[in-house]
Amino acid sequence: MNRNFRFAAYLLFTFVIPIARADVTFHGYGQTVVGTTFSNNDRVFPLQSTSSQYSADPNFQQNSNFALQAAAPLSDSISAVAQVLALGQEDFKPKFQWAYLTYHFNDTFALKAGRLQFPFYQYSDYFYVGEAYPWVVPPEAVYITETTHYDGINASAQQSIGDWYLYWQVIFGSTDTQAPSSGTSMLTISDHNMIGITLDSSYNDWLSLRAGYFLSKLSITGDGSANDPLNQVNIIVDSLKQSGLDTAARDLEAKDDLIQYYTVGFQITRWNWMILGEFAGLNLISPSFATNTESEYLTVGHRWGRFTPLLTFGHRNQWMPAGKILQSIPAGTPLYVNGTPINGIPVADLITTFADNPLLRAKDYYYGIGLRYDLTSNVALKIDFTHYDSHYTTSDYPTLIQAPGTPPVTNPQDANRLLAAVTFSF
Amino acid sequence: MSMNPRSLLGLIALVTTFDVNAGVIISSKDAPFSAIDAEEAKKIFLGREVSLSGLNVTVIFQKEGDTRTNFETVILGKTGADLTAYWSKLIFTGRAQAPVEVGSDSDVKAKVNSTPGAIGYISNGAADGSVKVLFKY
Repeated sequence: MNRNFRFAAYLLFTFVIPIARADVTFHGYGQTVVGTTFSNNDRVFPLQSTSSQYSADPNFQQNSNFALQAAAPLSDSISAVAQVLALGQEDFKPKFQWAYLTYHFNDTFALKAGRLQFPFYQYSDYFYVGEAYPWVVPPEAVYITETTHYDGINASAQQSIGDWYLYWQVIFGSTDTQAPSSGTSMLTISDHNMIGITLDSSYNDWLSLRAGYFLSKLSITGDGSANDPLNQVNIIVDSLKQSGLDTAARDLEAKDDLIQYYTVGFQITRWNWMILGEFAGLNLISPSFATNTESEYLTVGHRWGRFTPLLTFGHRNQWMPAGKILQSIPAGTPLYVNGTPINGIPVADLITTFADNPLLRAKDYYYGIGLRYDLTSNVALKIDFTHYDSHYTTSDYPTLIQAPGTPPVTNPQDANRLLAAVTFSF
Repeated sequence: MSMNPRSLLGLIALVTTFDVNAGVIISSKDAPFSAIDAEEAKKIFLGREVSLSGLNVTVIFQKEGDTRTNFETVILGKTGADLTAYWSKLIFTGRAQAPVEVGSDSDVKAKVNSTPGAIGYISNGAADGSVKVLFKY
């Protein structure tokens, strides 16, 4: 048992057991997922997606996980919950995914405070609980955010009105997430002072409608290593400052920039048929080098006894809205490197090239076919084949001007991914 | 349109194997709960109502079997893996406390009598004077 696991277990048991009486309950979930993309080409799926880590060799780690949750009532209205999650892609290093207190005001209102999961999209706050949804991983067209948990509060209200059941959530909090960017370099993505509201509604349990809206202050910083793609951005930002274009420099940086997330979704479950879909958008209100995205998916499935075959279609558009930044840069403004203007390289061209970078731009289509088999009511076997089709080709990316010391970029390619999983909960 | 004899026989077989009045929802004899209806039963066993008559409810399910399948089909409209998926979502996002699972009708009766606020379901034949019946289905 490694040191981290012992530490997490120690925290879990000292946090919960001494305070509670003998009514601590334990539950957990997990899955073993094996996947392949039949190819050893670099980055066949978008870099931010979980699939980008698969290759020709079967990979048993990337989407595998195991979690243990302890819950204890501390009084009639207060309970404590801690969930420790170990992800295969992090070498099964356990960490607190949830750790919070809930105060139930009454049957309608509750308040949670602590470490919580963002309820961005339908499956976001139980993204790792494979037992709870039909695919091996939720459709990557939409479920590609690196940010999962936050520290803050979640206020909820539930009500039944006629045949409708409504569940409201208002959240407030902040998060700093590490995400891989290029090579071994890491990005820190910070969402600060995020505020959001979601409504989950269901009509007679066969129709569900969902909507959500979030506002946040986004910052993205690199680690300054040789492979860090943000080195390129930093050179451009410094260059703009050299030319006295402070507004353009501030616009390009991703530092406390206001962004909005919005989403709608639906699910129809009737006569053993299941149709569900979501639309999600991310829009930069303050400009930065981050990207706007618009994505959606639709899944159709049918339950035949223990089998549920399904078909999924997904689409994702991603782009960096560089227009406002470019507008404020006079034509011919040169690039500066170490205080020296580089003639023949207008800095505006470099920004356009950066925005055209295949790491930032996407027009992707996903076609998936899958099958879920319920072995028992809490063990399932799943298999998923997805064809990923990028509608950008090499010719869509003009000759890239690269600032010194920046890594070469590769274009996305069409690819296939096969995943098989066994999931369980207890 | 008249029904042909074969489908009539099938219908009779269906009705007799699936006894509509097949179970009861119970609590301990001295719990401060009054009778509930099907709608309220559904809310309680789907984790949407956490208290009844001012007392926090502990939901008791039975382990997989006919009594459970029948209860889930009639009262909840969801069963098996679909219901597990539904409850997993609530448990692992902290929206509801996980229900307790016990083995049989007599285990349910013992549990409701030993746990304040516990509510469970048993088959019709198992109901006796040791528990209070809240709803018959």
